[in-house]
Amino acid sequence: MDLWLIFLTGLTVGGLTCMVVQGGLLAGAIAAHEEEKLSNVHHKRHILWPTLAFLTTKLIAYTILGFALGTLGGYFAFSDTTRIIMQLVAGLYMIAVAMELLHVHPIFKYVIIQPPKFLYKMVKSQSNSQEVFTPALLGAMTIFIPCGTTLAMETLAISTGNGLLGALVMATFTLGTIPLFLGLGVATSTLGHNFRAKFAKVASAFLIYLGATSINGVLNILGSPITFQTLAAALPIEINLTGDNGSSSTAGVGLINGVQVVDVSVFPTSYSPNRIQVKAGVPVKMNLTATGGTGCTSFFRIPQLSIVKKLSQGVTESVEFTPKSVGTLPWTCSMGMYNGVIEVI
Amino acid sequence: MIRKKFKLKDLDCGSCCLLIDSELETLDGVIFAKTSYGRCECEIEFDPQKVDERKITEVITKLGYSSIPL
Repeated sequence: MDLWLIFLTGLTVGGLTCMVVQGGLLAGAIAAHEEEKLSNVHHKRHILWPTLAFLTTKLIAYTILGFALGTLGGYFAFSDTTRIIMQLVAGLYMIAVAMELLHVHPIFKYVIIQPPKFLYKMVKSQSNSQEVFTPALLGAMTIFIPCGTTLAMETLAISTGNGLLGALVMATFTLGTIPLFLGLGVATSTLGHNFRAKFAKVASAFLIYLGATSINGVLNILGSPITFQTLAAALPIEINLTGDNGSSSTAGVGLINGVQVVDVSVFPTSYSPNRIQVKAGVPVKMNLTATGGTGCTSFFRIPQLSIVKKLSQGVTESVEFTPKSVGTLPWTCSMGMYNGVIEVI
Repeated sequence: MIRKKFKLKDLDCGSCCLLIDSELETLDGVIFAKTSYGRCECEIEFDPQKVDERKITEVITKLGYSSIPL
């Protein structure tokens, strides 16, 4: 799970859509509160505190939402298949939104989801309140008026099938939306079309990359012969897409009682070793130890053998199989984004 | 009461439609405003005695979008 990418998407897309509406609501809340004061002078400090309150509660609310969505996804655990479908849908949706932001074709206009009006009215009435707590309450209520990209992120959060991962996704995205909010402040609601248009182009670049990574992850999970990784391997230039610094070792496979045993350390975004060599026709036992924190590597998959194993931190789980023929057997994490290879010789 | 449609330009996000509808409905005389992002149109019902097309386009322009009555 590339959190940097999610952060950057929030930084750009969030700046575009969130600020326009949320900035306006926040400005309204501050203005309503200011009217209570007798002073006419507009101090910058009076804007900073409400904005910080707003952003803090917004972050907390979205993190909790992410946790709920991820847990829900794991619960309905729908089947692994449904989870994979959601990941695919989230990826496709992000690409479609990017296509609309780039005005590729009018048909993409229809993928833009408008938040329901009654929810917006509810949130807006809150912003008209003169209470001191209004900006903070407003921040939390923004979860009721998600824009299209936020919804795509929420779909991604559900598809992680894990409360912690879901929370990470939403928290990272929301964190991305914060810098611009602070930098430009409530004036964002008055940003003109030119700014929004330029921003849209940058945002769509990140959306395309994130969407493509999601879709590629699905292809990896399904054991598709065509993925970013296989395409990169086919190119004459060296491109490393395994997500780590390329330290691979083929040592480490020992023969114990006729079984090829190998220990693999599983980190949040990589495996060590990430490449092993085994002989065909001889049983294999992979001892997987998850260390260093949770990530989507908490699920271990060997798509071509239909093996899926849940890993717990600090615990060694084993996966056993007998490779039948010579070739390569890739393994991946739950979302298909980090992998390793078993070379069968 | 008359119903009129306006073609909107420069809509950059789905949320923009909410903003427009919300602002228009605060105008005295506007019964409802419904913007469709897909069709880039805003359908609005208003009392011509209290508000006119000029005022409506003024509000939309102030928000940063442009509009043409259909």
